[in-house]
Amino acid sequence: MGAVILQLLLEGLILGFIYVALSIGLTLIYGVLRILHIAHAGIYALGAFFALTFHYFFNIWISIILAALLAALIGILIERFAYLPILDKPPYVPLVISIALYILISELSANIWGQYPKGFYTEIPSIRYDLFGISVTTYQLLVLAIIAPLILILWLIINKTKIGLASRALTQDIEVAQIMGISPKKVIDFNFFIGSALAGVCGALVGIYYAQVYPYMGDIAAYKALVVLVLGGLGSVIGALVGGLILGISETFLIAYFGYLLPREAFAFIIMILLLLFRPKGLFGRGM
Amino acid sequence: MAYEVVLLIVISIYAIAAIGLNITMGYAGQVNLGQAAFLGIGAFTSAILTKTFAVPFWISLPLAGLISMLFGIALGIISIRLREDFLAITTIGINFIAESFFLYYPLFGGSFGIIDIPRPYVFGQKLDDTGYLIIVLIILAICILFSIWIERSWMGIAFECIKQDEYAAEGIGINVRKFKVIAFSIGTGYAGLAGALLAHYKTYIVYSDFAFPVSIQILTMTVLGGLGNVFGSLLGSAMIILLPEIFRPLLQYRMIMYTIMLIILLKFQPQGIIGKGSFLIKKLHQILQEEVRS
Repeated sequence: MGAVILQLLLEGLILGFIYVALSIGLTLIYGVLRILHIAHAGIYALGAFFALTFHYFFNIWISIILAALLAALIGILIERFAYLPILDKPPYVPLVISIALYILISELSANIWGQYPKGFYTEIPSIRYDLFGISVTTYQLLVLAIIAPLILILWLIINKTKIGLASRALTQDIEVAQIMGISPKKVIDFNFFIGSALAGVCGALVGIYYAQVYPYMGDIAAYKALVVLVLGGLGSVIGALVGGLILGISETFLIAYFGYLLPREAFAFIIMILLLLFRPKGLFGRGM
Repeated sequence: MAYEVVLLIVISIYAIAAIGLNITMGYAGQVNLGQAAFLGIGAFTSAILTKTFAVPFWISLPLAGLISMLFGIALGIISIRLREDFLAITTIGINFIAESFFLYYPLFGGSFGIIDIPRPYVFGQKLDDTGYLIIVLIILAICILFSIWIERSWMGIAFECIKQDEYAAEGIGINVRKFKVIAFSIGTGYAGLAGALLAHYKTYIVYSDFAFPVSIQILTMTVLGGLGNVFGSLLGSAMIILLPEIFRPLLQYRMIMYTIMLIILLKFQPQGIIGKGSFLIKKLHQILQEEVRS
């Protein structure tokens, strides 16, 4: 019994870290621009495709790094050409544009790389270890070993560096932050760079983990990341961290024990709606 | 001819859903990204009632609208506590939950959906496509008239106030909670009607007909024509249904063209093609004024 719980905990943790990595970007972007960046999931899927393509030429580590950089570049392009010019428009405009961008990205990748799932096989061997009765695969370790430190580094950047401070200041109050001499453009660029790079890495790792990549892999991820964004209280990075881990773990347990009651994909949203009824601003949300 | 009738039926059905969304979003300013879920609730309600319980179409159609409306009221009650972005995400969530319910529970036919949904009878005669078109057009006309009536009534004014500023609306004595729930219930009721009409027209429905992209499609219809304008929703529906037919040779790139068009349009004309203050309307006014002067 104990082993089963530990096993579920491990799987929930991995899922949770993937959610966190995806939603940190969303949170950073929502924090400064107040845009629900749904196209983020497109960048996540693109990250997987970039890694797959680079992997024809380079080893997997270089491919992941290149994929992250390219994903970050696309993130900044989206920011510059799609979001910045429409900030003064009514709120549904950025939302619809973001959704349209997401569909555009997935359709473009379906045209470039084909509609059907592509196998993603790496030189990393798939080995199953037994630790205290839990089975762990190398791919699970890979996801944990890359994403957890990245999140830690990001955490340090946001809390200990100047640009992180500027980003937090802008999240709280754009006008006052500008009076204090913070250039919002730089911070917005920075947030898009970091968030998109993280989404790219995340996509590549998920592609390796499930050994397949397909153009619509962002579909479910996009909305799960939104759930995390809400759970954490829109725009709070610590909220995204805690919310992502809570969602990953609780979802894994609920599916394991009550999975027969409800369809898999509904759980995350039911958790979200129930939570919103009691805390309409999310777990860590303060008044906006 | 038959092909044009088919297109007209589909346009009119989606127009009903789009006009409904326009009431929730365009009049009252409450985002609903899950309109397809309510389309689905209406469609499955009517399909199950007519097929399993042999209820006649003329009874199941209003019932479908009504049940969809009940779910809309539930959403409206949730929406009271939520603002803009939280509401947007919640409605996306509702769409996903509804879709997965349709897929998961055998009552809704699972991944095969429900087949052989009966076409309605009029005077003992089974309706053909043209007959069905007439029925759909009559219902569409009623929906348009009702929507115009709402816009011009005190309810429309209350909606407009809530859209502009919720707190100010509360301040001048508008019961914001009540009107939010009303806005959702009418919008989703329209979607339920449209869903039932779709089910009996296609005679075959499956969970993926009511997935999130369909919500986006309906949203696009509403926004493309001009949010807050009934005829905008109508125009938007016609464009979204007809464009793929025009671009048929470019089947593979259809969605790409679509989204690029949408992005460009929203960037330069966020009020939609025939919304207030749009380029087309301004130009028309100018021409009309010059006519009057000369």
